[in-house]
Amino acid sequence: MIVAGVDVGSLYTKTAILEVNDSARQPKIVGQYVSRSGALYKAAACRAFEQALAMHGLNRDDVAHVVSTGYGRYQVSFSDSHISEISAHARGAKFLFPDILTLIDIGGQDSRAIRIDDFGGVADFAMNDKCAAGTGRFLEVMAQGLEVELGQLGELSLRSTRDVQISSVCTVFAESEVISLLSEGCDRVDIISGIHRAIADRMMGMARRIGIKERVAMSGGVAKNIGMVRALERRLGTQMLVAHEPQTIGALGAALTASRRVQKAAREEAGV
Amino acid sequence: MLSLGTVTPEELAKARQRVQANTPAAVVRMGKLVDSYWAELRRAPAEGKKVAWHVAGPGTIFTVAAGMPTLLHAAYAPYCTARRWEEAPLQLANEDIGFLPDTCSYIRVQMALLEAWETGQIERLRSELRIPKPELVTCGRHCTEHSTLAEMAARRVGCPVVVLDFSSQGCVTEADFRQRARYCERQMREELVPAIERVSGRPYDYAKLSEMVSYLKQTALLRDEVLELMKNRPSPCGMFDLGISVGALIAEMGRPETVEYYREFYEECRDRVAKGIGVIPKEKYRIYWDGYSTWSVLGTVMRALSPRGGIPIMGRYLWGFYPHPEELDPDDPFYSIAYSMIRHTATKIFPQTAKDTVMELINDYQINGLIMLSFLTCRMWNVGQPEIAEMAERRFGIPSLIVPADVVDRTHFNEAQFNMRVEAFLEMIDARGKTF
Repeated sequence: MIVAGVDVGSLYTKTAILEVNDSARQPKIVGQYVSRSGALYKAAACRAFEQALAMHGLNRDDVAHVVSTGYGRYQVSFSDSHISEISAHARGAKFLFPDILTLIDIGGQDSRAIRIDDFGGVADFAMNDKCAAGTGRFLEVMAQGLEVELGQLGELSLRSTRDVQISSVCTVFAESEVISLLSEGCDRVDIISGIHRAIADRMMGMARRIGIKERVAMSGGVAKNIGMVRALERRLGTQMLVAHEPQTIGALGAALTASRRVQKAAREEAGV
Repeated sequence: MLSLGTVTPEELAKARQRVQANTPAAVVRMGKLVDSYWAELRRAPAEGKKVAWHVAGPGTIFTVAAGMPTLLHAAYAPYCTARRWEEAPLQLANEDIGFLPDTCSYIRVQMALLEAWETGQIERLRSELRIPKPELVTCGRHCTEHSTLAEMAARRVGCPVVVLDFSSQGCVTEADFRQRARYCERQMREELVPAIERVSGRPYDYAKLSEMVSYLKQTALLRDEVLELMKNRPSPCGMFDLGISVGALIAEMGRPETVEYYREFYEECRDRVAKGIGVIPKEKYRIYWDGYSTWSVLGTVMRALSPRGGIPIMGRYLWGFYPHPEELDPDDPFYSIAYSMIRHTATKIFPQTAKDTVMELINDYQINGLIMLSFLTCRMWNVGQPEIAEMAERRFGIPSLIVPADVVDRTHFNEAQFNMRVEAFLEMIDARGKTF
């Protein structure tokens, strides 16, 4: 049986397809797919889903259940049910790393610290306010201000030799601060490192609020940024687990939810 | 004389649709009572009556008893907001006066009204919002913003101001509270009453005050009966229904119409309990709501919660308004109101002392989660919230969600983020197996 999860985020739409086999203990990941969300979430979700299915020679009728998540979850016309991305990320991360109890998730629009129970449920969570500070969007704006490719930020930050303090985490003011530091002759790599530290400090506030319990994993597109991972690890004082494809963990969690819901429905139907 | 009016079936259906809940019909009538309260204020100059403004504290009763229609600041901002008319006053406050957007939004809206009158811009406000300027300002200071607003408003129009010190700080024993209540009583008798007599130009009507306290007591006793009924599952009404009805205890207080209102409200709830009818079809999550009624996003909040089986049932906000009416004494109105304020209101709603009240409410009302509004513009409420959340977790094993919002200013709220948080929060309650 095939199930799927679609995570429609503010910047990217992610799809995960799972194969659930009664004889296998764990569902098997068939494929994961990431594409830009753009302005039209509904169309982006359809496009991403169809492309993901096509890559694996599947069509919509092959999929028993689709769960949508993310900010655009209600825009996914073909989904059978939905789940909040906080629960989806918790479930997806627990599937990949069964011994984690804390998840740091930094996406395009939100940053969150999630405490996870033994069964992959959300025990507690804290997230950013109505502000882009400390999110993927914040890093995008900083990269533009520094004229650096977004994907280069992490590697560059690791070359830093001097601590530069970025006092503001407001996206607008931090950009001004970065420009001011550049004009003062600060090295770009030191500024980039300072940006990562500022985000890590902010994330620590959230993580402390829910109580950090090891082990800790990281999800979301920002987890691809090695500089951000290292900055957070230094602040947390522990090594984090990062998936090969951290951006699709929400979609994976949604697909796992789809699998559970199908199995539950089957059990109910069988009167078990 | 206020009027309760009648509600048409269309009005009732529209109100229920807006919040996707089975709102009691009586509560929808509250809007009519509110309208008549503001109409009474607008008519006052034409009827030769002097208008008072009251900023927090014991309520409008003392000046209304003296024949002065009285604006309650804590009712004006909700009135603007609930009717979606707050944009013009907020714009006046922010752009013309220059208030920062994190200034108390009740103050901003209230000062905008004065600014509009004083600068000839009253046409910028809807006719319903053009409440006359005060000839007397009274204030029962609960926070520094209250007394600042009272003094600012009085200075702006050049009228007298009476700021009553209704603080319970430092009171520990029953004797402390009684002594402090005597001090408050003296302030009312020695400062408030003479000021009212000077402005109204006639001797204070003590008999009228006693009569009004009697109505207030009857109203609050009926309200307590409704609160008792809300312990049932499913609850016959929600916390916001009580929030909407709070005006009858503090703005429109002490009138026979408020007794009629609460009697109807109580009887409707009693009937619902007998028939097992809830305010939402399938009550799954009984939420403790920490903070004011969010007038700016009331419908949004309800639409996020009620289809999922969530209903805000109780909150300390409701306990700020004569929580022990049995102590009100029409024969001793000044002292009994002062004692009620000092002994109960302050200790039940303010964060430093509210924790025990909140724990009792969680237990009594079978709460399975707390949603706490963190107000950018009213920090007094926010203090103590993390501690309350921690206590609820430790004692009852139930989670809390802290959400940024504002009672008036919609720019402090993000609907998509709120919906997502609420959904995750309810899933978290499910994961803990705490649902009904």
